[in-house]
Amino acid sequence: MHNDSAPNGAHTKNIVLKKILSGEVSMRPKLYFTLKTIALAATVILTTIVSSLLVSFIIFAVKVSGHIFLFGFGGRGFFMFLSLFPWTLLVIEVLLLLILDALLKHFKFGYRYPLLYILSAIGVVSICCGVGINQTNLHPTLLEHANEGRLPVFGGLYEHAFHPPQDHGRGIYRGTITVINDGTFTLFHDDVDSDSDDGLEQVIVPPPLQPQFHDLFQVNDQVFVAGKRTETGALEAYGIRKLNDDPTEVHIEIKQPAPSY
Amino acid sequence: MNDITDETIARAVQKGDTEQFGVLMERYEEKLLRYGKRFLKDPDKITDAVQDVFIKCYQNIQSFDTDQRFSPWIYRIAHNTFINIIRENKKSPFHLFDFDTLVSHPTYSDPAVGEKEFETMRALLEKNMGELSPQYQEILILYYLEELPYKDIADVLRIPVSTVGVRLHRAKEQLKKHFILPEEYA
Repeated sequence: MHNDSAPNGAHTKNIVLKKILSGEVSMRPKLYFTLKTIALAATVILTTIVSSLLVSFIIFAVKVSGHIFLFGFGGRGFFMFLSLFPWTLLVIEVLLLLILDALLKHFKFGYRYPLLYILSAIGVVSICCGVGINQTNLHPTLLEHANEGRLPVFGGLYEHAFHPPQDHGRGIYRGTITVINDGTFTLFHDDVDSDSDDGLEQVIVPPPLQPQFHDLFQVNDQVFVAGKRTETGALEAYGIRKLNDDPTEVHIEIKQPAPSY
Repeated sequence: MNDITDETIARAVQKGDTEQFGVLMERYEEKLLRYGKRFLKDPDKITDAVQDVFIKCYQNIQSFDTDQRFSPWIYRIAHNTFINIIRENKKSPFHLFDFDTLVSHPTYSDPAVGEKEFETMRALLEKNMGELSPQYQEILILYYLEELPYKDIADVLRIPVSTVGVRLHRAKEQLKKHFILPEEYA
Protein backbone atom coordinates (compact mmCIF):
# COMPACT_ATOMS: atom_id res chain seq x y z
CA MET A 1 0.00 0.00 0.00
CA HIS A 2 1.20 3.46 -0.86
CA ASN A 3 1.09 6.09 1.78
CA ASP A 4 1.10 9.08 -0.49
CA SER A 5 -2.59 9.65 -0.09
CA ALA A 6 -3.96 12.05 -2.63
CA PRO A 7 -6.63 14.57 -1.84
CA ASN A 8 -7.67 14.86 -5.46
CA GLY A 9 -7.36 13.32 -8.90
CA ALA A 10 -4.53 15.51 -10.16
CA HIS A 11 -2.50 14.63 -7.10
CA THR A 12 -2.95 10.88 -7.66
CA LYS A 13 -1.98 11.22 -11.30
CA ASN A 14 1.13 13.23 -10.37
CA ILE A 15 2.18 10.79 -7.67
CA VAL A 16 1.92 7.80 -10.00
CA LEU A 17 3.62 9.58 -12.92
CA LYS A 18 6.41 10.72 -10.58
CA LYS A 19 7.00 7.13 -9.49
CA ILE A 20 7.04 5.99 -13.12
CA LEU A 21 9.41 8.73 -14.30
CA SER A 22 11.77 8.25 -11.35
CA GLY A 23 12.04 4.55 -12.19
CA GLU A 24 10.50 3.48 -8.89
CA VAL A 25 7.75 1.79 -10.90
CA SER A 26 8.66 0.10 -14.15
CA MET A 27 6.78 -1.66 -16.92
CA ARG A 28 7.26 -5.41 -17.13
CA PRO A 29 8.49 -6.44 -20.57
CA LYS A 30 6.21 -8.28 -22.98
CA LEU A 31 8.55 -11.28 -22.80
CA TYR A 32 7.67 -11.66 -19.10
CA PHE A 33 4.00 -12.13 -19.97
CA THR A 34 4.78 -14.39 -22.91
CA LEU A 35 6.89 -16.64 -20.69
CA LYS A 36 4.20 -16.56 -18.00
CA THR A 37 1.57 -17.68 -20.52
CA ILE A 38 3.88 -20.42 -21.81
CA ALA A 39 4.55 -21.58 -18.23
CA LEU A 40 0.83 -21.60 -17.51
CA ALA A 41 0.04 -23.54 -20.69
CA ALA A 42 2.86 -26.00 -19.89
CA THR A 43 1.45 -26.49 -16.37
CA VAL A 44 -2.01 -27.12 -17.83
CA ILE A 45 -0.60 -29.69 -20.26
CA LEU A 46 1.51 -31.34 -17.55
CA THR A 47 -1.44 -31.51 -15.14
CA THR A 48 -3.61 -32.99 -17.91
CA ILE A 49 -0.95 -35.63 -18.62
CA VAL A 50 -0.57 -36.51 -14.92
CA SER A 51 -4.36 -36.61 -14.54
CA SER A 52 -4.73 -38.89 -17.59
CA LEU A 53 -1.92 -41.16 -16.38
CA LEU A 54 -3.60 -41.41 -12.99
CA VAL A 55 -6.96 -42.30 -14.57
CA SER A 56 -5.26 -44.93 -16.70
CA PHE A 57 -3.45 -46.30 -13.64
CA ILE A 58 -6.71 -46.57 -11.68
CA ILE A 59 -8.30 -48.52 -14.55
CA PHE A 60 -5.15 -50.64 -14.86
CA ALA A 61 -5.05 -51.31 -11.09
CA VAL A 62 -8.70 -52.44 -11.04
CA LYS A 63 -8.09 -54.75 -14.00
CA VAL A 64 -4.68 -56.15 -13.08
CA SER A 65 -5.65 -56.87 -9.49
CA GLY A 66 -8.64 -58.85 -10.80
CA HIS A 67 -10.95 -56.72 -8.67
CA ILE A 68 -13.01 -55.96 -11.74
CA PHE A 69 -14.24 -59.59 -11.61
CA LEU A 70 -15.87 -58.84 -8.26
CA PHE A 71 -18.59 -57.07 -10.22
CA GLY A 72 -19.76 -60.45 -11.45
CA PHE A 73 -19.89 -61.97 -7.97
CA GLY A 74 -23.27 -60.56 -6.89
CA GLY A 75 -24.01 -58.01 -4.20
CA ARG A 76 -21.24 -59.24 -1.90
CA GLY A 77 -18.72 -58.95 -4.73
CA PHE A 78 -19.94 -55.46 -5.59
CA PHE A 79 -19.49 -54.19 -2.02
CA MET A 80 -16.10 -55.91 -1.84
CA PHE A 81 -15.16 -54.10 -5.08
CA LEU A 82 -16.16 -50.77 -3.51
CA SER A 83 -14.20 -51.49 -0.36
CA LEU A 84 -11.07 -52.41 -2.33
CA PHE A 85 -11.31 -49.58 -4.87
CA PRO A 86 -8.26 -47.23 -4.82
CA TRP A 87 -10.26 -44.29 -3.45
CA THR A 88 -7.12 -42.36 -2.45
CA LEU A 89 -6.03 -42.26 -6.08
CA LEU A 90 -9.50 -41.14 -7.09
CA VAL A 91 -9.39 -38.30 -4.53
CA ILE A 92 -5.99 -37.24 -5.92
CA GLU A 93 -7.52 -37.32 -9.41
CA VAL A 94 -10.40 -35.07 -8.32
CA LEU A 95 -7.89 -32.65 -6.77
CA LEU A 96 -5.93 -32.62 -10.03
CA LEU A 97 -9.12 -31.79 -11.95
CA LEU A 98 -9.84 -28.92 -9.55
CA ILE A 99 -6.28 -27.64 -9.98
CA LEU A 100 -6.75 -27.89 -13.74
CA ASP A 101 -9.99 -25.93 -13.48
CA ALA A 102 -8.25 -23.22 -11.44
CA LEU A 103 -5.45 -23.03 -14.03
CA LEU A 104 -7.93 -22.79 -16.90
CA LYS A 105 -9.64 -19.88 -15.14
CA HIS A 106 -6.67 -17.78 -16.26
CA PHE A 107 -7.91 -18.19 -19.81
CA LYS A 108 -11.14 -16.65 -21.07
CA PHE A 109 -12.77 -19.94 -21.99
CA GLY A 110 -11.98 -21.18 -18.48
CA TYR A 111 -14.41 -18.80 -16.79
CA ARG A 112 -16.81 -18.01 -19.63
CA TYR A 113 -18.41 -21.45 -19.20
CA PRO A 114 -20.04 -22.76 -15.99
CA LEU A 115 -17.76 -24.62 -13.61
CA LEU A 116 -19.65 -27.90 -13.93
CA TYR A 117 -19.26 -27.87 -17.72
CA ILE A 118 -15.54 -27.15 -17.52
CA LEU A 119 -15.02 -29.85 -14.86
CA SER A 120 -17.07 -32.33 -16.90
CA ALA A 121 -15.12 -31.50 -20.05
CA ILE A 122 -11.70 -31.92 -18.44
CA GLY A 123 -12.95 -35.06 -16.66
CA VAL A 124 -14.05 -36.55 -19.98
CA VAL A 125 -10.73 -35.57 -21.61
CA SER A 126 -8.78 -37.20 -18.75
CA ILE A 127 -10.89 -40.36 -18.89
CA CYS A 128 -10.60 -40.64 -22.70
CA CYS A 129 -6.83 -40.12 -22.52
CA GLY A 130 -6.65 -42.59 -19.62
CA VAL A 131 -8.55 -45.24 -21.59
CA GLY A 132 -6.30 -44.51 -24.57
CA ILE A 133 -3.16 -44.95 -22.47
CA ASN A 134 -4.53 -48.29 -21.29
CA GLN A 135 -4.59 -49.49 -24.88
CA THR A 136 -0.81 -49.15 -24.94
CA ASN A 137 1.80 -51.31 -23.23
CA LEU A 138 2.88 -48.56 -20.84
CA HIS A 139 1.48 -49.93 -17.59
CA PRO A 140 2.21 -53.65 -18.30
CA THR A 141 5.80 -52.71 -19.13
CA LEU A 142 6.16 -50.64 -15.97
CA LEU A 143 4.60 -53.47 -13.94
CA GLU A 144 7.15 -55.87 -15.42
CA HIS A 145 9.95 -53.47 -14.43
CA ALA A 146 8.43 -53.17 -10.95
CA ASN A 147 8.28 -56.96 -10.53
CA GLU A 148 11.92 -57.17 -11.56
CA GLY A 149 12.81 -54.42 -9.08
CA ARG A 150 13.85 -52.06 -11.88
CA LEU A 151 11.27 -49.33 -11.32
CA PRO A 152 12.31 -46.70 -8.80
CA VAL A 153 9.79 -44.50 -6.94
CA PHE A 154 6.63 -45.99 -8.47
CA GLY A 155 7.67 -49.65 -8.18
CA GLY A 156 5.74 -50.17 -4.95
CA LEU A 157 2.64 -48.60 -6.44
CA TYR A 158 2.65 -51.11 -9.30
CA GLU A 159 3.37 -54.06 -7.03
CA HIS A 160 0.50 -53.07 -4.78
CA ALA A 161 -1.77 -52.68 -7.81
CA PHE A 162 -0.94 -56.18 -9.00
CA HIS A 163 -1.15 -57.79 -5.59
CA PRO A 164 -3.06 -55.50 -3.25
CA PRO A 165 -1.70 -56.30 0.21
CA GLN A 166 -5.15 -56.34 1.77
CA ASP A 167 -6.55 -58.95 -0.63
CA HIS A 168 -5.75 -62.13 1.31
CA GLY A 169 -7.19 -60.68 4.48
CA ARG A 170 -10.42 -59.97 2.58
CA GLY A 171 -10.64 -63.46 1.09
CA ILE A 172 -9.40 -62.52 -2.39
CA TYR A 173 -6.92 -64.95 -4.01
CA ARG A 174 -5.43 -65.50 -7.42
CA GLY A 175 -3.55 -68.66 -8.23
CA THR A 176 -3.47 -72.13 -9.77
CA ILE A 177 -5.75 -75.05 -8.97
CA THR A 178 -3.46 -77.91 -7.87
CA VAL A 179 -5.95 -80.49 -6.59
CA ILE A 180 -9.70 -80.88 -7.09
CA ASN A 181 -11.64 -82.92 -4.54
CA ASP A 182 -15.32 -83.46 -4.01
CA GLY A 183 -16.65 -79.97 -3.28
CA THR A 184 -13.27 -78.43 -2.60
CA PHE A 185 -10.09 -77.59 -4.40
CA THR A 186 -6.59 -76.56 -3.43
CA LEU A 187 -5.30 -73.27 -4.74
CA PHE A 188 -1.62 -72.45 -5.00
CA HIS A 189 -1.19 -68.70 -4.89
CA ASP A 190 2.05 -67.16 -6.02
CA ASP A 191 2.50 -63.39 -5.91
CA VAL A 192 5.38 -63.53 -8.40
CA ASP A 193 7.39 -61.55 -5.91
CA SER A 194 10.08 -62.19 -3.36
CA ASP A 195 8.10 -62.17 -0.12
CA SER A 196 6.91 -65.28 1.70
CA ASP A 197 3.15 -64.97 1.52
CA ASP A 198 2.80 -67.54 -1.26
CA GLY A 199 1.14 -70.78 -0.31
CA LEU A 200 -1.76 -73.21 -0.52
CA GLU A 201 -5.37 -72.41 0.21
CA GLN A 202 -8.26 -74.83 0.70
CA VAL A 203 -11.33 -73.52 -1.13
CA ILE A 204 -14.84 -74.81 -0.51
CA VAL A 205 -17.23 -74.72 -3.46
CA PRO A 206 -20.85 -74.23 -2.30
CA PRO A 207 -22.85 -77.48 -2.90
CA PRO A 208 -25.41 -76.10 -5.40
CA LEU A 209 -22.62 -74.98 -7.69
CA GLN A 210 -20.37 -78.02 -7.48
CA PRO A 211 -21.63 -79.74 -10.69
CA GLN A 212 -20.96 -76.58 -12.72
CA PHE A 213 -17.55 -76.16 -11.12
CA HIS A 214 -16.51 -79.73 -11.88
CA ASP A 215 -17.62 -79.31 -15.49
CA LEU A 216 -15.73 -76.09 -16.16
CA PHE A 217 -12.61 -76.12 -14.00
CA GLN A 218 -9.65 -78.47 -13.95
CA VAL A 219 -6.24 -78.80 -12.35
CA ASN A 220 -3.69 -76.18 -13.52
CA ASP A 221 -6.37 -73.61 -14.29
CA GLN A 222 -5.47 -70.05 -13.27
CA VAL A 223 -8.32 -68.68 -11.20
CA PHE A 224 -9.46 -65.62 -9.31
CA VAL A 225 -11.36 -66.51 -6.15
CA ALA A 226 -13.35 -64.41 -3.72
CA GLY A 227 -14.57 -66.10 -0.58
CA LYS A 228 -15.38 -65.92 3.08
CA ARG A 229 -13.16 -67.49 5.71
CA THR A 230 -14.94 -70.27 7.65
CA GLU A 231 -14.36 -71.28 11.25
CA THR A 232 -12.21 -74.21 10.06
CA GLY A 233 -9.89 -71.80 8.25
CA ALA A 234 -10.94 -72.83 4.75
CA LEU A 235 -12.19 -70.33 2.21
CA GLU A 236 -15.82 -70.67 1.15
CA ALA A 237 -15.97 -69.19 -2.35
CA TYR A 238 -18.73 -66.88 -3.47
CA GLY A 239 -17.08 -66.24 -6.80
CA ILE A 240 -14.56 -67.99 -9.04
CA ARG A 241 -13.26 -66.81 -12.38
CA LYS A 242 -10.91 -68.46 -14.79
CA LEU A 243 -7.91 -66.33 -15.81
CA ASN A 244 -5.42 -66.25 -18.60
CA ASP A 245 -2.27 -68.36 -18.15
CA ASP A 246 -0.07 -65.32 -17.76
CA PRO A 247 -0.80 -63.69 -14.39
CA THR A 248 0.89 -60.44 -15.48
CA GLU A 249 -1.27 -60.12 -18.57
CA VAL A 250 -3.41 -57.03 -18.20
CA HIS A 251 -6.13 -57.96 -20.61
CA ILE A 252 -7.21 -60.96 -18.68
CA GLU A 253 -9.46 -63.12 -20.78
CA ILE A 254 -11.72 -65.88 -19.73
CA LYS A 255 -10.88 -68.97 -21.79
CA GLN A 256 -14.34 -70.43 -21.58
CA PRO A 257 -17.66 -69.32 -20.14
CA ALA A 258 -16.81 -68.52 -16.58
CA PRO A 259 -19.23 -69.30 -13.83
CA SER A 260 -19.99 -66.62 -11.29
CA TYR A 261 -21.40 -67.79 -8.04
CA MET B 1 -7.95 13.91 -27.04
CA ASN B 2 -11.35 12.66 -25.94
CA ASP B 3 -11.89 11.10 -29.38
CA ILE B 4 -8.94 8.80 -28.94
CA THR B 5 -9.92 5.43 -27.57
CA ASP B 6 -8.50 3.97 -24.38
CA GLU B 7 -7.04 1.14 -26.40
CA THR B 8 -5.12 3.54 -28.68
CA ILE B 9 -3.72 5.35 -25.66
CA ALA B 10 -2.78 2.03 -24.05
CA ARG B 11 -0.95 1.07 -27.26
CA ALA B 12 1.00 4.34 -27.08
CA VAL B 13 1.93 3.64 -23.45
CA GLN B 14 3.07 0.14 -24.43
CA LYS B 15 5.35 1.76 -27.00
CA GLY B 16 6.92 3.95 -24.31
CA ASP B 17 4.82 7.14 -24.29
CA THR B 18 4.58 7.33 -20.51
CA GLU B 19 2.86 10.73 -20.48
CA GLN B 20 -0.15 9.17 -22.21
CA PHE B 21 -0.65 7.04 -19.13
CA GLY B 22 -1.70 10.25 -17.39
CA VAL B 23 -4.64 10.51 -19.79
CA LEU B 24 -5.79 7.01 -18.88
CA MET B 25 -5.53 7.91 -15.20
CA GLU B 26 -7.61 11.03 -15.74
CA ARG B 27 -10.28 9.00 -17.50
CA TYR B 28 -10.51 6.27 -14.90
CA GLU B 29 -9.69 7.84 -11.54
CA GLU B 30 -13.17 9.02 -10.69
CA LYS B 31 -14.74 5.75 -11.85
CA LEU B 32 -12.30 3.68 -9.81
CA LEU B 33 -12.77 5.81 -6.72
CA ARG B 34 -16.52 5.24 -7.01
CA TYR B 35 -15.95 1.53 -7.62
CA GLY B 36 -13.61 1.40 -4.61
CA LYS B 37 -16.30 2.84 -2.32
CA ARG B 38 -18.22 -0.38 -2.84
CA PHE B 39 -15.32 -2.34 -1.28
CA LEU B 40 -13.73 0.03 1.23
CA LYS B 41 -15.12 2.59 3.63
CA ASP B 42 -12.04 4.67 4.50
CA PRO B 43 -11.57 7.40 1.80
CA ASP B 44 -7.78 7.43 2.33
CA LYS B 45 -7.62 3.68 1.81
CA ILE B 46 -9.68 4.01 -1.35
CA THR B 47 -7.31 6.66 -2.75
CA ASP B 48 -4.27 4.55 -1.88
CA ALA B 49 -5.91 1.52 -3.45
CA VAL B 50 -6.66 3.41 -6.67
CA GLN B 51 -3.00 4.51 -6.79
CA ASP B 52 -2.09 0.85 -6.47
CA VAL B 53 -4.46 -0.02 -9.30
CA PHE B 54 -2.79 2.51 -11.61
CA ILE B 55 0.67 1.29 -10.66
CA LYS B 56 -0.28 -2.34 -11.34
CA CYS B 57 -1.95 -1.22 -14.54
CA TYR B 58 1.27 0.44 -15.71
CA GLN B 59 3.48 -2.46 -14.63
CA ASN B 60 1.31 -4.98 -16.49
CA ILE B 61 0.22 -2.92 -19.48
CA GLN B 62 2.27 -5.07 -21.86
CA SER B 63 -0.09 -7.95 -21.05
CA PHE B 64 -3.06 -5.92 -22.30
CA ASP B 65 -4.30 -6.99 -25.71
CA THR B 66 -5.12 -3.74 -27.50
CA ASP B 67 -7.60 -5.59 -29.71
CA GLN B 68 -9.74 -6.04 -26.60
CA ARG B 69 -11.55 -3.36 -24.58
CA PHE B 70 -9.48 -1.54 -21.96
CA SER B 71 -12.18 -0.91 -19.36
CA PRO B 72 -12.82 -4.56 -18.32
CA TRP B 73 -9.08 -5.03 -18.06
CA ILE B 74 -8.52 -2.14 -15.65
CA TYR B 75 -11.68 -2.99 -13.70
CA ARG B 76 -10.37 -6.54 -13.29
CA ILE B 77 -7.14 -5.16 -11.77
CA ALA B 78 -9.20 -2.87 -9.54
CA HIS B 79 -11.48 -5.73 -8.47
CA ASN B 80 -8.48 -7.89 -7.50
CA THR B 81 -6.73 -5.04 -5.69
CA PHE B 82 -9.78 -4.18 -3.59
CA ILE B 83 -10.54 -7.82 -2.82
CA ASN B 84 -6.92 -8.38 -1.72
CA ILE B 85 -7.09 -5.41 0.64
CA ILE B 86 -10.28 -6.75 2.18
CA ARG B 87 -8.76 -10.21 2.55
CA GLU B 88 -5.65 -8.75 4.17
CA ASN B 89 -7.94 -7.08 6.69
CA LYS B 90 -9.76 -10.40 7.12
CA LYS B 91 -13.11 -8.74 6.87
CA SER B 92 -14.03 -10.25 3.57
CA PRO B 93 -17.75 -10.28 2.92
CA PHE B 94 -17.11 -12.33 -0.23
CA HIS B 95 -17.79 -15.97 -0.64
CA LEU B 96 -14.87 -17.99 -1.93
CA PHE B 97 -17.19 -20.12 -4.00
CA ASP B 98 -20.15 -18.92 -5.97
CA PHE B 99 -22.73 -21.61 -6.66
CA ASP B 100 -24.18 -19.47 -9.45
CA THR B 101 -21.09 -20.26 -11.52
CA LEU B 102 -21.68 -24.03 -11.29
CA VAL B 103 -24.23 -24.48 -14.04
CA SER B 104 -25.68 -22.55 -16.91
CA HIS B 105 -28.69 -20.35 -16.24
CA PRO B 106 -31.52 -19.25 -18.44
CA THR B 107 -30.31 -16.15 -20.18
CA TYR B 108 -31.79 -12.99 -18.78
CA SER B 109 -31.56 -10.88 -21.86
CA ASP B 110 -29.63 -7.66 -21.86
CA PRO B 111 -32.60 -5.48 -22.76
CA ALA B 112 -32.23 -2.16 -24.39
CA VAL B 113 -32.53 -0.37 -21.11
CA GLY B 114 -33.75 3.16 -21.49
CA GLU B 115 -31.87 6.16 -20.19
CA LYS B 116 -34.74 6.82 -17.80
CA GLU B 117 -34.27 3.46 -16.10
CA PHE B 118 -30.54 4.01 -15.90
CA GLU B 119 -31.05 7.34 -14.24
CA THR B 120 -33.59 5.94 -11.77
CA MET B 121 -31.34 3.02 -10.90
CA ARG B 122 -28.27 5.23 -10.62
CA ALA B 123 -30.05 7.54 -8.22
CA LEU B 124 -31.29 4.63 -6.13
CA LEU B 125 -27.86 3.03 -6.03
CA GLU B 126 -25.98 6.19 -5.17
CA LYS B 127 -28.27 6.83 -2.20
CA ASN B 128 -28.93 3.32 -0.93
CA MET B 129 -25.94 1.22 -1.86
CA GLY B 130 -25.37 0.07 1.71
CA GLU B 131 -28.70 -1.72 1.81
CA LEU B 132 -27.55 -4.35 -0.66
CA SER B 133 -25.21 -7.29 -0.16
CA PRO B 134 -21.66 -6.61 -1.51
CA GLN B 135 -21.99 -9.22 -4.26
CA TYR B 136 -25.06 -7.47 -5.67
CA GLN B 137 -23.70 -3.97 -5.13
CA GLU B 138 -20.75 -4.72 -7.37
CA ILE B 139 -22.75 -6.04 -10.30
CA LEU B 140 -25.21 -3.15 -10.12
CA ILE B 141 -22.34 -0.65 -10.06
CA LEU B 142 -20.68 -2.28 -13.04
CA TYR B 143 -23.92 -2.38 -14.99
CA TYR B 144 -25.71 0.84 -14.07
CA LEU B 145 -22.93 3.17 -12.95
CA GLU B 146 -20.03 1.99 -15.07
CA GLU B 147 -22.36 0.94 -17.89
CA LEU B 148 -20.38 -2.16 -18.78
CA PRO B 149 -22.14 -4.73 -20.99
CA TYR B 150 -22.69 -8.30 -19.71
CA LYS B 151 -19.66 -9.60 -21.57
CA ASP B 152 -17.32 -7.06 -19.97
CA ILE B 153 -18.80 -7.64 -16.52
CA ALA B 154 -18.16 -11.37 -17.04
CA ASP B 155 -14.51 -10.54 -17.80
CA VAL B 156 -14.15 -8.29 -14.75
CA LEU B 157 -15.68 -10.80 -12.33
CA ARG B 158 -14.43 -13.87 -14.22
CA ILE B 159 -17.82 -15.53 -14.23
CA PRO B 160 -19.94 -16.93 -17.08
CA VAL B 161 -22.07 -14.39 -18.96
CA SER B 162 -25.22 -16.27 -17.94
CA THR B 163 -24.22 -15.83 -14.29
CA VAL B 164 -23.99 -12.07 -14.84
CA GLY B 165 -27.60 -12.15 -16.03
CA VAL B 166 -28.87 -14.18 -13.10
CA ARG B 167 -26.91 -12.17 -10.55
CA LEU B 168 -28.14 -8.89 -11.95
CA HIS B 169 -31.67 -10.22 -11.88
CA ARG B 170 -31.25 -11.21 -8.20
CA ALA B 171 -29.68 -7.84 -7.40
CA LYS B 172 -32.76 -6.13 -8.79
CA GLU B 173 -34.95 -8.51 -6.77
CA GLN B 174 -33.06 -7.54 -3.63
CA LEU B 175 -33.39 -3.91 -4.54
CA LYS B 176 -37.14 -4.44 -4.85
CA LYS B 177 -37.23 -5.61 -1.24
CA HIS B 178 -35.91 -2.25 -0.11
CA PHE B 179 -37.53 0.08 -2.57
CA ILE B 180 -40.64 0.09 -4.66
CA LEU B 181 -39.41 0.15 -8.22
CA PRO B 182 -41.57 0.98 -11.20
CA GLU B 183 -42.71 -2.37 -12.62
CA GLU B 184 -40.80 -2.04 -15.88
CA TYR B 185 -37.49 -1.82 -13.98
CA ALA B 186 -38.06 -4.81 -11.72
